[in-house]
Amino acid sequence: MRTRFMTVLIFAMMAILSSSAALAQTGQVARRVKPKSNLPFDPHDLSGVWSRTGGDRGMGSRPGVNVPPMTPAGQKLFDASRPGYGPRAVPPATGNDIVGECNPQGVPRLLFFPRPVEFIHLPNRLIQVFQWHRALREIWTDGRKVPTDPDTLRWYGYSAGKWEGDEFVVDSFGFDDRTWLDQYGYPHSDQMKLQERYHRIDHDTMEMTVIVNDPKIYAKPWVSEKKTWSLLSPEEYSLDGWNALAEEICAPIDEVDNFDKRVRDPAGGVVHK
Amino acid sequence: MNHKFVVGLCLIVVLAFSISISAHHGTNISYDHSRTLVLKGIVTEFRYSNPHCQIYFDVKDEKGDIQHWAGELTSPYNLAQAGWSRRRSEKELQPGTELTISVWPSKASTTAGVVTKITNSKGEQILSGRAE
Repeated sequence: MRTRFMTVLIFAMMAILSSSAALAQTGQVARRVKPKSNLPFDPHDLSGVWSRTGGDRGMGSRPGVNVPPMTPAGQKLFDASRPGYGPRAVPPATGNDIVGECNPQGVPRLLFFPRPVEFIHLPNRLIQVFQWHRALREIWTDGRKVPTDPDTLRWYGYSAGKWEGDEFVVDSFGFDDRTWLDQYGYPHSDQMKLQERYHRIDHDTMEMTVIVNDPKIYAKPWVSEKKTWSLLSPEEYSLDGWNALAEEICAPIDEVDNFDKRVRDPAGGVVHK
Repeated sequence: MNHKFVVGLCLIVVLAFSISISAHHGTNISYDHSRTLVLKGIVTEFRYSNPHCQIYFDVKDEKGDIQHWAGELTSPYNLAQAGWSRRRSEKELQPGTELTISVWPSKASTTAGVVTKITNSKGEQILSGRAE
């Protein structure tokens, strides 16, 4: 009996550790341990605080998967990117991921990061409030079309959304091309057309697919892995009894002046005198 | 095999792993995960700042010289969700506090590392962050 118990225990530990190792590698958050509720829901209501809990932090299920052929210009940009994640990772001290200096992540990258995002429906738009970097995004639902030739490019683009059946479809354009699609350094141009398709499949779960259409960089549209989002309860995301999103602002005074110079860069072999 | 020994071993392995994977934010590539250094140090500064908490500490090397180390920790949000609020963390990591700090050291052989475990003078593990 005791031998059987110990054998089961050892195998259980091995299973936990191997799954944890996988989680660590993909950046997956295993936060949701509560069983799914069977509460009723309105598929056209995305209100609430959600977190991307299923899928990888990149466009694909892992870096390099399902990437469309790149144009010569796209390949040149990809070759020039030096991310801190994935098979091409370099120490961030010698990389060129602009996020390391607290610059905006842009979308879709920010959508892939496993942190709470509040969806707020207003009569004329859907607001996404991202806890990570405290970014705010407006998705207009008043019938307007996204501009085809905006004068000013934006980190988060110009977005308009509408319902197609039970899918909330967001079209965006007008992006600043200095962001990457994801943490693995995949580029996009200022001509990228981004589409997100959200589908709430039960009270607690939403699916999201991202489609990148950027002929300057990719020879055909890039359809992401289907990502799963989970509805969070205040107990899951709140801190210190304050029922609200936390503030995770990347402030240069903390990150650039301290962490980067004093930890990140020395760790990568770049020592500031 | 002794029953208590196996249970204890499993708990130690899980605890060690739970903190070791708290490293994040794309800096993992900078550190040598195959080598753990266990350092006896004295805290000189602790920063509970987003998105990376940091601990700075002095370590006396074999020659008696002082090495200034910098350690990377997980984010305040992850620490707080694991019960390590700012006040509690700062109380444990006041300048002058003696600690045993395990790190995966920099591949560049500088005195920087990602912290995998911190133990106080009572032998208690502190600042265990949650995986991200």
